[in-house]
Amino acid sequence: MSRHGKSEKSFVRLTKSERVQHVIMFVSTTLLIITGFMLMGEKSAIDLLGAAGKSIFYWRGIVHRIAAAAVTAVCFYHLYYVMFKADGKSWFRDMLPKSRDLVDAYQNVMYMLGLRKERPRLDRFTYLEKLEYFSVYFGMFIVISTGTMMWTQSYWPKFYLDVADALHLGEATLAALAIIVGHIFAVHYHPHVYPMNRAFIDGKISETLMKEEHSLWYERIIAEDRSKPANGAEGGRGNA
Amino acid sequence: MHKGSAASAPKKFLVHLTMAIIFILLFAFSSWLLWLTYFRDASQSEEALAKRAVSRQEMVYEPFHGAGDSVLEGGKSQSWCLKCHKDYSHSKSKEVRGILNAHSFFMACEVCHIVPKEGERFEYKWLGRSSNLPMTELKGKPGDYGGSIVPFRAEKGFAKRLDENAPANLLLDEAVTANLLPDESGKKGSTGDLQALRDRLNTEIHKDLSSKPVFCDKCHKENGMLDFAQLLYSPERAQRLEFGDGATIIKQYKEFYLPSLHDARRNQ
Repeated sequence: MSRHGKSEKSFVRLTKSERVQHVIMFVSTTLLIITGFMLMGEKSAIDLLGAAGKSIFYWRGIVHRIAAAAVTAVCFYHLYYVMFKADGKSWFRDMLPKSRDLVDAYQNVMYMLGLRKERPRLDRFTYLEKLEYFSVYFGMFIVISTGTMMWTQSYWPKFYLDVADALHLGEATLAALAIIVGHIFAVHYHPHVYPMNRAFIDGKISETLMKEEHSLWYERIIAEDRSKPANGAEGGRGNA
Repeated sequence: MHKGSAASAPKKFLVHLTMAIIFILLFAFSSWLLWLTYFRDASQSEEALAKRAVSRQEMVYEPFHGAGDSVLEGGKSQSWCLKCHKDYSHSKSKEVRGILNAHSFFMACEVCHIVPKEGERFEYKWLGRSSNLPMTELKGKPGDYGGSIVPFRAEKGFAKRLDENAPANLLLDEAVTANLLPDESGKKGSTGDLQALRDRLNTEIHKDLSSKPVFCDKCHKENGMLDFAQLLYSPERAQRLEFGDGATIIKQYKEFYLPSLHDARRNQ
């Protein structure tokens, strides 16, 4: 259904390791959101569950903790990945904020307001992707630390647990809304990728989308490929 | 700008339909989150907010010392056992006596001290402290719902309250008259020939009691002696009483190891 044909030239957007990390993150976060916000449900709605409610809430706690452990593990693995793996180092280097991101943001807003004729030419990661990526670092630090406190509640004074509870809920709400409004729109409902950007499955990005969304990166890869002897049919990995 | 997909019209429709349904679900969930964050509290009274805060706290965590109001205000137990055994009736085991005495704030002593025989099952109900009638819901702060859990045994078609013992009460009245009961400081009276009365009291009052009371893990487990859901607890609270941290400790440890803070220092 994607508007980009299958026969079109494609480029590697996500490595296998990055896709596996994403899947674990996606499944765990979905479970965490569902089982976490179950606690915020109205009592009358919970009562509708009747006798099954007891078992459901028992498993809710267990599933939440298992998903939390999985997401924590993948976060730590990602830190290892960006510090010690070649692909990870390249990923992190390209993800680091640059002054150009501010210019890109300004120019993109002007373009969307109709005050600029052309979209800014963006690199491997756009300013929005960088913002989203580093927001996950911030969010994960908050929810993992406060979640650990609540998991080990008997070691903490009530005041600290109250603060941890408020932070955990606030960050979870912010993250859930950011994922739905920002990430899901960008990878599913954006006209360029609707109904889905398949990069999280096959790791590839089409040449058309590369030119539209990451033209600077595209040009860099083409230039690098031209400087090398002919290789495979598919495009390069960028500067990885 | 791009070539259209070669997908058939029904397939396209199915994809659009799926995406529309997902969009509606996500939109509804996001709206609910925004309502939770910004609007739910605004439309509720202070009392409702406080009630929900307590309810949520029960679901997530419940520091033992957080439920201290019943301790400060007194448990208001009406058990006649306390006439002799006084407030801190469990004193043998230093390690667990605090937990056991805390239970006496809201439970008749007979809940633990009359053990059902093999195959027998008592019924347990909350009775209002002032009305003595079965309660229909638990209101108030955890630890002080205004009543006590009382055991009932089916006898000749009737449910007999096991915390009532009329002959023993008459004997207790005699004991009061004879100044046999301990005063507030715990000292027993010393007037009169009391041995016979004391023996009768011990026999009559304790005749239904089990030599080994019910241990914690008989109740704090799934399908235990007490059905917490039937005892009017919310599903979350019932789950916590069965599987919560306290219940987990009980399952894992039959012996309680406490740090020897002061003894160790004294012995140095």
